[in-house]
Amino acid sequence: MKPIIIKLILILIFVFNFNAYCADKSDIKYFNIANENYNKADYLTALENYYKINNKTYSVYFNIGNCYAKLNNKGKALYFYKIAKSIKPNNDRINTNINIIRASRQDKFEIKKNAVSALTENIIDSYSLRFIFILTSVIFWCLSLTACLILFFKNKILNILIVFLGCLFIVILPFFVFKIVETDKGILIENNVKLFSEPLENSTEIAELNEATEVKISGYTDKWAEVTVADTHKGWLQKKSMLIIKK
Amino acid sequence: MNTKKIFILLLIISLPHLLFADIKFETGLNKQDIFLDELIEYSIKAEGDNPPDFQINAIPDFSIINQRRSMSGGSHFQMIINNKVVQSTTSSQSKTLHITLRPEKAGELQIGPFTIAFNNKNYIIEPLKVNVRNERKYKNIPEKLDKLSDNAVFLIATLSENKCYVNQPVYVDFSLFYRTRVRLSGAPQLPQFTGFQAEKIFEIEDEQNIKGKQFKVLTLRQLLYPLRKGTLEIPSAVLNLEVNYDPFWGRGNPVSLKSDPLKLEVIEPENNFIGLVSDDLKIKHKLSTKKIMEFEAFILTVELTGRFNLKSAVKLDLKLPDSIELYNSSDSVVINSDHSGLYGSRYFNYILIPRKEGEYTISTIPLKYFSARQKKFNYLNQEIKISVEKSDKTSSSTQPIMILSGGSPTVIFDKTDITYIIEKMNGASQFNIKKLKKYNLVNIIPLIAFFISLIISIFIRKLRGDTVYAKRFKASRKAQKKLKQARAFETAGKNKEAYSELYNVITQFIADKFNVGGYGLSSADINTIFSEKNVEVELTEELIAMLKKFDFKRFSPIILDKNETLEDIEKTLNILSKLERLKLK
Repeated sequence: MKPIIIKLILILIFVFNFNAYCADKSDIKYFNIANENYNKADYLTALENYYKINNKTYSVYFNIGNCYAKLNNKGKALYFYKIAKSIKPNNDRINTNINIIRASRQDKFEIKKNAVSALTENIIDSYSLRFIFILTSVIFWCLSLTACLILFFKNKILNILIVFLGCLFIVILPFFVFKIVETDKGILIENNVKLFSEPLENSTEIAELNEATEVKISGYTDKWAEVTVADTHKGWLQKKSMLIIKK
Repeated sequence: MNTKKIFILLLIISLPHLLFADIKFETGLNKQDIFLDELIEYSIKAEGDNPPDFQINAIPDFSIINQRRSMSGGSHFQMIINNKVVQSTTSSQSKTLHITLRPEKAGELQIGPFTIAFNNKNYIIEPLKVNVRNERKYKNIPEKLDKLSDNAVFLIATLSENKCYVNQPVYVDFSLFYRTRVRLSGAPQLPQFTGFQAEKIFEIEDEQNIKGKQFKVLTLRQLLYPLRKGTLEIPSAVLNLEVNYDPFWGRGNPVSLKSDPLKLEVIEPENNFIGLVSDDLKIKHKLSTKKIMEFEAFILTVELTGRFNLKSAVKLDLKLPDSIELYNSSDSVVINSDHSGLYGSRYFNYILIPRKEGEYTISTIPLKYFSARQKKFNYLNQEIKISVEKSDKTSSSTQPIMILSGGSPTVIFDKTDITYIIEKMNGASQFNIKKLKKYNLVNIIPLIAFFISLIISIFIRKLRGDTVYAKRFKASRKAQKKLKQARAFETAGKNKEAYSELYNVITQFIADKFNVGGYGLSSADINTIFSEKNVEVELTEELIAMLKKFDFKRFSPIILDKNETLEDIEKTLNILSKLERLKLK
C-alpha cells in the first residue's frame, strides 16, 4: 500500500507544480543583487539581474515592472505588472501599480460596460489560470473517484456526493473555459503608434495611440496584429510596437 | 440701486426650492474696449445649489443681439492621504447667461447694475463699464454693404483682425443678409481652416438697416487661433438657399451664395516663439494640507487661469529644494469659450515628498508669455513657502501610492510597505496555456480509471447474473486447481488418486464449458455434445481415449509408472488448452 501512496504524492507534486514554489539558489542570489541595485537606483543593472533569474515568480515580474516604471517605460512596466497579476490576481501592490500606470498614460479611454460584462470581467480577473485549473482538476478527480466507487457500491452518501460534485463541476467549468478562451492582450511600448484600418501602412489611419495603451488581439499576420481598442475601435497595429501577453 | 438705468430684469424659478443655499452671481465681459461697430459678450453666471433661470430683456445704450445659456453640473473631487480626507472640492451647479450686445453710442458705457429677486432675497449684480470708441473697426464694410443692398440676399465674410500674432484668437463672421423669405437648403459649407485651430461656431441673429432697407442678418461666427506665421487664407464659405420661399408649396428659387476669400497676416512676437499669447493671465496655488510632515506626500496644485489658448501645450516646471522630491505630476484643464476666445484654467498637480524637516521655498520656473495689447513679453511665476515638520517615521524610502477608483482620484499611503519592490522571492511562476496543456494530461488518469472501473463492474455484473458465463469463466481456474492437486498426488506417490483427479478435471471442465452436468458424463455424451458444437473429430477421439485411459488407471490394481503419470498430466494440460481455445456458440 505504501508505494501506491508515494506514487500518488508524486503525481500530486507533478500536477500542482510544487517545484514552481521552490526557488533555485542562484535565482535567489540574482534576486537579492537586483534588489540591492534597485535600492541604489541603478535600475538598468537591477533589470539585468532580474532577467538572469530562470524561474521567475510573480515577485520577479513585479520588480521588473517597477524598474521599468522608474525608467519611465510605462508600456513595459504595465506588461510585467500584468504578467505578475496573471500569477497573483488579487495582490494589492500589483493592482495599485497597474492603476498608477493606467492613470499616468496619455490615452485615457472611457469604456462603458454594462453591469453583467463588468461583473464577469471582474470575476475572471480575480483568479489565476493556475488556481482555476487546480480547482477544476481536484473536483474532476473527486467526481471520477466517486463515480468509480458508485459502480461497485450502492450507497446514499455516494449518490449525494456525486450530485454535489457534478453541480460544482458544472459551475466551475465555465470559469475555466472563460480563462482559456480569453484573447491575447497587447500593451503598446511606443508613442504615436498608428492604428490602421488594414494591415498595410498606406491604409486609412483610424487613431494614434500612445505608450501603455492596452489592446485586445483577435488575430495575427506576420508583422501585424488585429486589435480592438477600448472595446470599440478595431484596427491593425504593427507587432513591433507592442508587447503581447499570450494567454 | 439705479432704477433708471434698468429696464427689466427678472427671474423665473421653475421649481420650488426647499433648501435654499446662497446663490453667487458673477459677471464678465469679453472685452472692455470696443469699436462702435463691434459686438461684445456680457455674461452673468449664477452659482450655487439649484441656481435660478433668468433673462434680461433690455440694457440701456445697447441692443441685445442674442442670448444663450450654458450650464455646468456639480462635481465632487476628493483626495485622501493617510486615509484622511485632505482635499475635498465640491463644485456646485452653475447657469450662465451669455448676452451679445451692440453699443448704440460711443463713450464710457455701463452695463447694470441689476437686481435679481430670488427666494425672497434680492441679489445685486454689480455694474461693468465698457469703453466704446467713436470710430468704426470695419471701415470698408458700410460701403460694401451699400453696394450689395440692392440684392434681396447676399453673403459677406469679415475677419475680426487683419493682422494678429500666432496663438492670438480671431474670428471670422459669415453673415447672410436677407430681406425676403429664405430657407437654407442643407448645412452651410464652411471652408477648411488650414493653419488654424478652429474652435466653436457661434450663431448670431441680428437686424440692420442699409439705405432704408431692413435686412435680417444671420451670422455664423467661427473662432480661430492661427498656428503659424505668414499670410493665411480663409477660403470661401458656401450657403445654398431657397429664395422667395413659399411655405405652402414648400419651395423657392435655389440660389448658391459664396463669400469672398479672406487673408490674415500672422506674425510671431519673436522668432520661433511657441508660448502663450494672453492679455489676462494669472497664477495661483493650493496645497493639499496645511500641516506638511516629513516623508508624507502632499499635493501642490498650481493654477494658470485667464484668457489664452488652453489647448496649446504649456509646461510649468518647479524649482525644488534638494530635500523635496517630486514623485509624480499631472495636469488637467477646464475650458470655456466666448466670442473673444477660450478662457478657463489649467491645473498642474505635483505630488511632492519632503525628505527632511525645515522651511523651504518652492518656486515655479518663470513662464514667458506675450501680451498682444501691451506688445511685450511678460513673465509669471509663483513662490510657495512651506514648513515641513518632523515625523516619527524613520524610513526615507516611503512611497505614496495612487489608487484610482470610481473616477475619483484618491492618494493613499502604503503604511506597511516602505519599499516598492518585493524583497522576498516567493510565489509561483507563470502558468500559461502551454503549461496547462502539459499538466492537463494528468486529468486523463481519472478518466481512464473510470472506464476501467466501468468495464470491471460490467464484467462483475455479468458474472453474478449469468451462471453459464460464470461457469465458463471459472472453468480454467478450477481445472488449474485440480491439476495442481493431481501433481501433488503424483509427487506423493498416490498415482491412482492423481488419475482420479485428472479424470475429474476433464469431465468438470467439459461440464463447465459446455454447461452440462458433470456427474455420469459418458463417452457417448461427450461425443454427442462435441458433434453438436462442431468440435473436431480428432480432438473428440483424443479426449475420449484419454478419459477411458484415466478411468481405467484410477481403478487399476497394478502399480502405475510414475513417468507415465507425469506425461498424462502434461497431456491433460494440452487437451484442456485446446478445449479452452474452442470458440463455442
